[in-house]
Amino acid sequence: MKPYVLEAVIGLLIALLLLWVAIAAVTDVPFVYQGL
Amino acid sequence: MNQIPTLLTERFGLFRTWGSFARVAGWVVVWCVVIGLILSPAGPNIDDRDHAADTPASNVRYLSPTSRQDFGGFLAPHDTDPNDEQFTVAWIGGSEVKLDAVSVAGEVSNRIASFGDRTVQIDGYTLIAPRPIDVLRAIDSAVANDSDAIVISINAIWLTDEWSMRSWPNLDVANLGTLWRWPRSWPWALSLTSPAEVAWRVSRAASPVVGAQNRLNERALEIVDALDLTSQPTEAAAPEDPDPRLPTDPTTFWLVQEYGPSVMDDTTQRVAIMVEGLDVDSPVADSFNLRILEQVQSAGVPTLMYVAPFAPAAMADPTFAAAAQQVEAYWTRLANTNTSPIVEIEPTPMTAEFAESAAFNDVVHMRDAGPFADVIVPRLCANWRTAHPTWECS
Repeated sequence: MKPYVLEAVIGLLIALLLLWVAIAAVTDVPFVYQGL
Repeated sequence: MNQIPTLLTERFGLFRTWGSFARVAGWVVVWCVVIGLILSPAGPNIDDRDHAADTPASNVRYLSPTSRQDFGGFLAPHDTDPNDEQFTVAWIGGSEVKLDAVSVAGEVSNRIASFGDRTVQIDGYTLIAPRPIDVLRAIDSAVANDSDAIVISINAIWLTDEWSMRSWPNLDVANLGTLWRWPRSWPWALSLTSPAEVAWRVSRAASPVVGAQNRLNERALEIVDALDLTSQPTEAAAPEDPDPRLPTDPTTFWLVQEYGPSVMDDTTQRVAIMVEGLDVDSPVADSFNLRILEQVQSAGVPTLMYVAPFAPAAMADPTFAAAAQQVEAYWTRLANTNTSPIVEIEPTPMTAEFAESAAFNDVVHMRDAGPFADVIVPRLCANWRTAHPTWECS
């Protein structure tokens, strides 16, 4: 039983991380001259 | 770091089978949905977008994003006009239509109260420097929002291709299907739409949290700033002067590469060069502009496309005048292929019709949009009457 509960907890942690990234990832990335 | 997988597999018995991986993946999906339902943030709406108010004040609703970090696309207006009592006009264009407090659409809105027995409501689908693909997406959104007429301000830069101008890549996510509807634009759908954009679109639709990402992003930044103990705002160093060799955007970069730094000194000369493009001939531009025409023809509502007027001072410059003639000749050719009686293309910049009262800040940006509004109002009403012959503007 314990592994199944832990799988749900790990799934929750990954979901929180994904949603945080989905929110934070929309930040504008300014154009940077690469010196090419 | 290797102790964590060891702990999970050997002590807790996780990830020993593929089934364990599948169950964790399933929980990730379930939790994303549950968190979305618990938080249930409201979807994006036009009030979230920080447009400068029109001067003079108008009732134009601006539906387009003002930031490239806003993946919401062109948002539907609040009231859906269920009884169809409004004559809704979608005004699509760039900064030459709406920039800061100056708005051509706003000035026109203040001059036309009603058409037939319907009140006129103008919706602005305006971006800074839209690409033709952004215009296609705006047309898609305007049709979805039941617009009764469409106005498109033709940007002179559209004679060159998709990559040599500024872009609004966030709209690639918002109207994902735009390029898939026509078989001959499938290669562009593949090249302009990345797998990541498909994933963004799906996740936006599936999770309200992702759908509200633009607003939530501001709160996330506040949280991060509050947790940042190493650099308090009062201690923040003044921003360093940017390196003068660094261009501000990709367009500037390519112009400087091609023509040298002096190209940035004269706006009129620079725009003339941009109009002619970095390539002499651009089949890409032809393809997209033809597609814009075909799309408004299939929209089934009266449409006026006009080449945005240029400042009289710019037209007096021989280099710019030659570029402007090129623009006019191009759109004249395209107008000659138009077969719809309710779609009109005005390829001639209407500068001469209000030159004496024109007030421009630069080549295309007006300081006062009123004189141009006086010119275009009768043209608009005439275009709308092609679909409603007995109705009049008032």
